Amino acid sequence: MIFKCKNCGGNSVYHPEKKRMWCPHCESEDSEELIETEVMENCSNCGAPLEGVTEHTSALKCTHCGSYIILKERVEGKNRADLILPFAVSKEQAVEKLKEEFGKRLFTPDSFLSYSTLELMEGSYVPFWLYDYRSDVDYEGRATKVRVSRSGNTEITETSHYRVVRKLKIDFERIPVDASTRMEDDIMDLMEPYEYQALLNFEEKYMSGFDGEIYNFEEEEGEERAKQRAARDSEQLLNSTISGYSTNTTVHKNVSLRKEKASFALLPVWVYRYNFRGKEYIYHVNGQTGKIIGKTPTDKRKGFLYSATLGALIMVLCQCVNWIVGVL
Amino acid sequence: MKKYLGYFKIWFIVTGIFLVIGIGCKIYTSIQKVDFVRTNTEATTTERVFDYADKMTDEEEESLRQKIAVTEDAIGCDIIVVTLNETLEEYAKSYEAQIGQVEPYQYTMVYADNFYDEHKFGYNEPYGDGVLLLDNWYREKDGRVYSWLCTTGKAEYEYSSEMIDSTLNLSLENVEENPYEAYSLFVDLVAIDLAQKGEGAPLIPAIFSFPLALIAAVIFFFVNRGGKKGSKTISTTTYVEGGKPEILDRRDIFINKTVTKRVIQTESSSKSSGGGGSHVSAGGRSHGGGGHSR
Repeated sequence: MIFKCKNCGGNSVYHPEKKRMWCPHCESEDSEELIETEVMENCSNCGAPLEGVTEHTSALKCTHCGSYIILKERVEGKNRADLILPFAVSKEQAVEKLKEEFGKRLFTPDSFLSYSTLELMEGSYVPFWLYDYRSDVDYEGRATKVRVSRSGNTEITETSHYRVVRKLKIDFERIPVDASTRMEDDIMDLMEPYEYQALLNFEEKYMSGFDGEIYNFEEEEGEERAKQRAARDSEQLLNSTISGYSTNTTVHKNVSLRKEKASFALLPVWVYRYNFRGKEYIYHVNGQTGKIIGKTPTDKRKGFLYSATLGALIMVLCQCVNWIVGVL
Repeated sequence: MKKYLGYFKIWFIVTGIFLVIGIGCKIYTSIQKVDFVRTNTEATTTERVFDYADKMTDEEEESLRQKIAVTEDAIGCDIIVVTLNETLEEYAKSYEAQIGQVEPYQYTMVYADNFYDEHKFGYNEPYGDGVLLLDNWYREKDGRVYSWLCTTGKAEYEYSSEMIDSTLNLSLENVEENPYEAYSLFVDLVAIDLAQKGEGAPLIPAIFSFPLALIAAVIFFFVNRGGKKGSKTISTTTYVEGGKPEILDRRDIFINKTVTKRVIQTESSSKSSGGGGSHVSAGGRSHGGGGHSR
């Protein structure tokens, strides 16, 4: 399926800054019309074979005509996402953020973020499972408070002993676990947090203009990661309620976790792949908050030139100081 | 290239200024450099190494003589090394009428001053510019071995008490193991201490400036290389409904209190230290100097 402009017939896409559908050809707003096609192998616009379709692809750009195609059977039935967080950061804004962060670094290669390399920057809706967990924490411990005072030449140590009891109920909402094997878990964890207030019920129009995937594995497979996070956070929240003691020894601790619900959501990420002298640098920009994950690209020749210059200047300055001090 | 020049603009300007001043200073010191000519013709000897204690081989003595000869012409000062192995108590006390009461640490001072005066040492004139190291290996009654650095003329003016202490401590540190090395080091230190402007030891020797530049360049590279961007920005309550857990039970129940007592031990200690000064010899000549004992 494809969204076409009623006015000019061009491909209408979702505009993150305008927060509405927009035709980049005639600049009409909200003029889209959904053209549905059942065929998955060919472009809904030009009919050319679609390249790069995998078993999980739900939306992509036609390499022939540049239109954004949404694969109908990947957004229906069990493949249909419950929620979607539309892009709020445009490509231009994402590029600007990358420029601010890495472009001004001294050893950044000149070709970084150049027009030709930006062609490879794509916005993607990454599939996530959002888990709700109920955590019941039951704790009992023995703690001490130690007070040391001095009287004359005698040191007095007073140790007060306490029984510490805690019972907590924690409701975790929408713990995200990325359901894409293409995306690294560590990177996706660092993309967080997303502001869930902006989550909307899924609609196809938000996908127009971006790549997309359906979940790569069932919700049961991602459960363990969410459960581990809930358990870890429960422990830390428990510890935050026990303070002011010199020592604390656990007598009894039980963290009980129960899954309440899981939702399939699509969350926005900009991905920029940059190749420099055979090395690939990958940058991720949170499509909602603009948070950046990536490593500074380094032109080692440039780095050597700058560092060697500095070293040489210091040597020259030292020699000059020697000459000047020799006269004093 | 534009970015490179822009980045180092201030550095290039500052270095350029320093370079101009530095080269100017270098030219100035070259012009000002004096070629010393010995003008004292009254000295009773040209010998510089008096190894009465016989602590060096003939070859070592000759080597030391040559080193002293080169150094003397570079700094315009006589350098004399004397070793003894005899008590100087009676000798020194025989001069108490002229110079007052002498302590054991001054026995070598009296001998050194007289030795200098008697031979009319001095590069520019009799009793003129020069230094004399007297190292007496004899252990006096107080169980100490004393040495003295006698300074005269411009050496007396240049050498502070701290410099004398430092020179003697450094040069005589290993004199028991290798006397020649110790006396040779003494000559080297005198050469540095009395060097002409621009000819002495540099403030920042190459052995320091090169590692300094290297370390600065390496630090600069790693600092500017940048690192990874992106850190964890969620907390334990990010996904907790209401932003905090619901506490159903929170009790801190006091059980009992235990008390222990300990007597604190105290300690005391004491330290002491001393210093030195300047004087006139039995022959009425002004000498500086300082002692060392081991």
